[in-house]
Amino acid sequence: MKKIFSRTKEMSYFALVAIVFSVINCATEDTVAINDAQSQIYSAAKFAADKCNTPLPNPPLLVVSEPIKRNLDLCTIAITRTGCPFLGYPLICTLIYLDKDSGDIPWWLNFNGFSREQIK
Amino acid sequence: MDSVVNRSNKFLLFLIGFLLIPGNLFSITVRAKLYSAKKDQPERNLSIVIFETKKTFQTDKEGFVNLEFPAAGEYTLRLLRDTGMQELKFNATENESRTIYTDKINIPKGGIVVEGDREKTVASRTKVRYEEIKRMPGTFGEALRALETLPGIIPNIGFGGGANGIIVRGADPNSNTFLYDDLPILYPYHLDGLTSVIHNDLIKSIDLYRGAFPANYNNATGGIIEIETVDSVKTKKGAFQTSLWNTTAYSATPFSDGKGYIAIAGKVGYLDKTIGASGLLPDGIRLPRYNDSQIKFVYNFSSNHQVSFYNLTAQDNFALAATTNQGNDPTKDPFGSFAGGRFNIGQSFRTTALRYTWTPGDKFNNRFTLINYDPITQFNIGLGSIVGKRFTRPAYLGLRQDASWNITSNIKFDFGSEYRQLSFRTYGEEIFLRDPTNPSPNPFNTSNPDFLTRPLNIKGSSSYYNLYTTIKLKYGNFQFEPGVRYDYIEAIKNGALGPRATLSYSIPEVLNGLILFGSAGDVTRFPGNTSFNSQTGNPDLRFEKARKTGIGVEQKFAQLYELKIEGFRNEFRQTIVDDPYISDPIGLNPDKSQLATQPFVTNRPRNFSNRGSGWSHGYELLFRKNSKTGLRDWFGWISYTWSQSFQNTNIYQIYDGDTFQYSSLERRVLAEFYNNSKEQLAVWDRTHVANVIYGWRINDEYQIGGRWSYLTSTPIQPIIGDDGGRFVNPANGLNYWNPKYSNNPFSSEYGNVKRGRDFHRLDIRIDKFENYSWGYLNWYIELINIYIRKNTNGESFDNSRPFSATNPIPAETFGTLVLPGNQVIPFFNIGMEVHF
Repeated sequence: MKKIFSRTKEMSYFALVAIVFSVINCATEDTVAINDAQSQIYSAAKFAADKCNTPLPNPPLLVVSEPIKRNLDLCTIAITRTGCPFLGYPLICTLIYLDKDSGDIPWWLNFNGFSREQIK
Repeated sequence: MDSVVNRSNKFLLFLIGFLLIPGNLFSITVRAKLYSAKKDQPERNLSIVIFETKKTFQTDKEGFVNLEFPAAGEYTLRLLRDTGMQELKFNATENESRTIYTDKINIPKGGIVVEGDREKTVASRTKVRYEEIKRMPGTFGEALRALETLPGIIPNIGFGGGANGIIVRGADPNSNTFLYDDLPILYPYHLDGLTSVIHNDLIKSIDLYRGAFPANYNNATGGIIEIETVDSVKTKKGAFQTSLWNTTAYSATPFSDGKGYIAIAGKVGYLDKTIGASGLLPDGIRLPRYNDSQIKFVYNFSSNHQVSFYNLTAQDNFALAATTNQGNDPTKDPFGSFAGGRFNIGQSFRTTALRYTWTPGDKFNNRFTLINYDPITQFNIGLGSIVGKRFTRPAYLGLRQDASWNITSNIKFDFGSEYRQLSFRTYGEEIFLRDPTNPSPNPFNTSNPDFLTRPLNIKGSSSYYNLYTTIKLKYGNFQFEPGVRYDYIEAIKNGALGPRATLSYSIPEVLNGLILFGSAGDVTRFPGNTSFNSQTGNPDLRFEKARKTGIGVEQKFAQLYELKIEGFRNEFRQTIVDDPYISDPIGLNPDKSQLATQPFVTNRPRNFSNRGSGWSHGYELLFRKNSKTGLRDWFGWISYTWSQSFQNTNIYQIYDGDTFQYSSLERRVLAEFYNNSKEQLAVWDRTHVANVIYGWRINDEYQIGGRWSYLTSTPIQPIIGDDGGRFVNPANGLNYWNPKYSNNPFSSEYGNVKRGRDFHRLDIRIDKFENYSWGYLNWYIELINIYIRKNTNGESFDNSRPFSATNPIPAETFGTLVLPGNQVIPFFNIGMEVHF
């Protein structure tokens, strides 16, 4: 009987250890592969260029390291919402070069308005 | 030889015991023959447990067994059958030989016990007992969910309404019939996709019929899931369970000195008040609310007459209202593309039945059931140009008769009939596509809307009847069961004949019994909606049909083990599909608001036709170890299914490159006579499905269970681009991108050709029992996806962004929880049940 009890305890232990192990090991930032990130930015830029009837801005926005997914998404959405003429990439796209999540956008910052600010 | 060895081993053990334990001086051995008077044959290879000593014995091929008792006295013998357990009281007085009649049942004073277990077909049927599935991991305590682990079954993985059905041998998940003591229920699971509409404690067993099911069942081109509920209540009992998303209660009591009993159960779901109120979900979602109730009342007037009453209800609803208050952080606004949209759905049913069973003797019984079935579905949607609501209620009142007559021990005759008075009602709006062939209609195209709405008001009545018969013939080890049924619906003036047969041959001499079997037959179905109405539907619709064939072998060995292998092929015909071309040359204007100005229209669309077809084939394997009923024992099974399922709508397609300018009449003629659609893998197809199930009651306090599932992913139609983001959601001014699919049948990207990563997952459940004088408490923890695999199911396209390498992405299934800080843990469920 004792043996059975200790076995049960062992199993419960195993389950707990598994949970703890998973909690410790899976806390990572979500990043996007360089090629995929470049494709995402290109598709947004192509849309903005077609909308404004302008060529893609030069120089292009190059992804040099794996960006944080949320930063990349903010940049992509900003490009699709940018105003015409589309001559440069939104200022917010500098976030793709950060290696940390940009955190919450401050309440006093109008994202839509801010995303229209282009670096020309 | 085996039994000789067995006997000498037992003798040795007996000798040792005799020398060591003086008490064994008084032990008794009874050589008993177990015999079924009803079947007029010995009980072969039947496992018996003496409850007081926990010793297990088994009868030989002649029904003989040597039962050992420690001393003279009254003992309880538990006969462990596949269909359940039977208890017999046995008075051991001396060493002797005796015949035990297994049909002899202890009857309470003034009461009657009706034997519920009837002989069932061996072909393409799997039975699971409640004890085996009640605590299965990954089911969230829902016994019905355990069906997903049986051979021939493809589960609908996921969370929510899409997870509401199972796929039986490649058939459409909507083509199954779930029965509760032979009564209809509209849906088996609530809208959360986790919880069943039947209380666990009412379930006695579940039979899953995957092949050409017996003729007494109907309305399924997929499978029949027959849920048998408790058929006797000897003492007062109850249960109460609470978890993160629902609370259930159950109570049952006998009355009138055991002549009758009543069982009542209910469930209330409150996902919206727990997880929904946690702040973890986006604004605008109101998670499913649901409730259900079951009442079963049984009274035995005498040994010949029984009356039972049932009332089953379930109610569900879900709502979503995407806020127009655009968040400052667009990455935290998952419904931005659908801002201003609202959607709610509801479904409910009530099944009320009064049943009278007449059992004049062992050889004949007849049953009459008066059924009032009231299913309701409704929705209300508003998104861009998709606006409308609808209420559908295809209710009926029916009288059904089922009889069974054992003419001789080798000939049995089942027959029955049913009449229903259908009363259907649909009102609200009909939402339809301006161009039904448009593969990517855009809801925000407001200048020339792709979606149109017109008022709908349909009501009517019709009669429906059916007749069936099955003859069960036995000759030696051969068993042949031919059957036929006929169904007729007056509204469509269509009848369907469904012949079927099962042939089996058993060889009891091979280990513990070998059975070879095969079955084939035609089964039919007609959907429970109003698609046959003459105003907006097709009154010439016919029954959907399937021809099912299968062969297999079942081998039992070592008392509790069995291996079953089956191969199958199904052909689906006359499947009802949306048909944009079928029309009446002239008909009443379906838009009743224009009846005064334009009462007739040409080419009145019928919207539905029977042009669909499909087929599936595969093989199944089940290796199973049953538990010894009433004892602490482990049980489990390994199931594996290989299958392929194909479908073809047989609806005319306009492919890329077809630039010839046809008139609409020419298109209709083409659609009628030129079938250019391509056969596709069914969207639910999964080539490999495997399950490993294990359960062990360790001691009085703990039980542990494990389940590992493996599934090939389903095939999807790859997204190859977008529409260029041409439309804007007027609620927030954001662009909306519609996905684009290949429309070139010669392209490698056309159709359901892409599969994602395979799905696999390990779930564990640990139960702790606290025993008290009044009952017991059962605490449990379920850990889902213990090794935290990111399983996916199809693709999800974000309409707020253009197509790119990151859009679409594989859609992750639930199975993990993401904590603040991106920490991932296995999904878990903690609960408690009180049984008293």
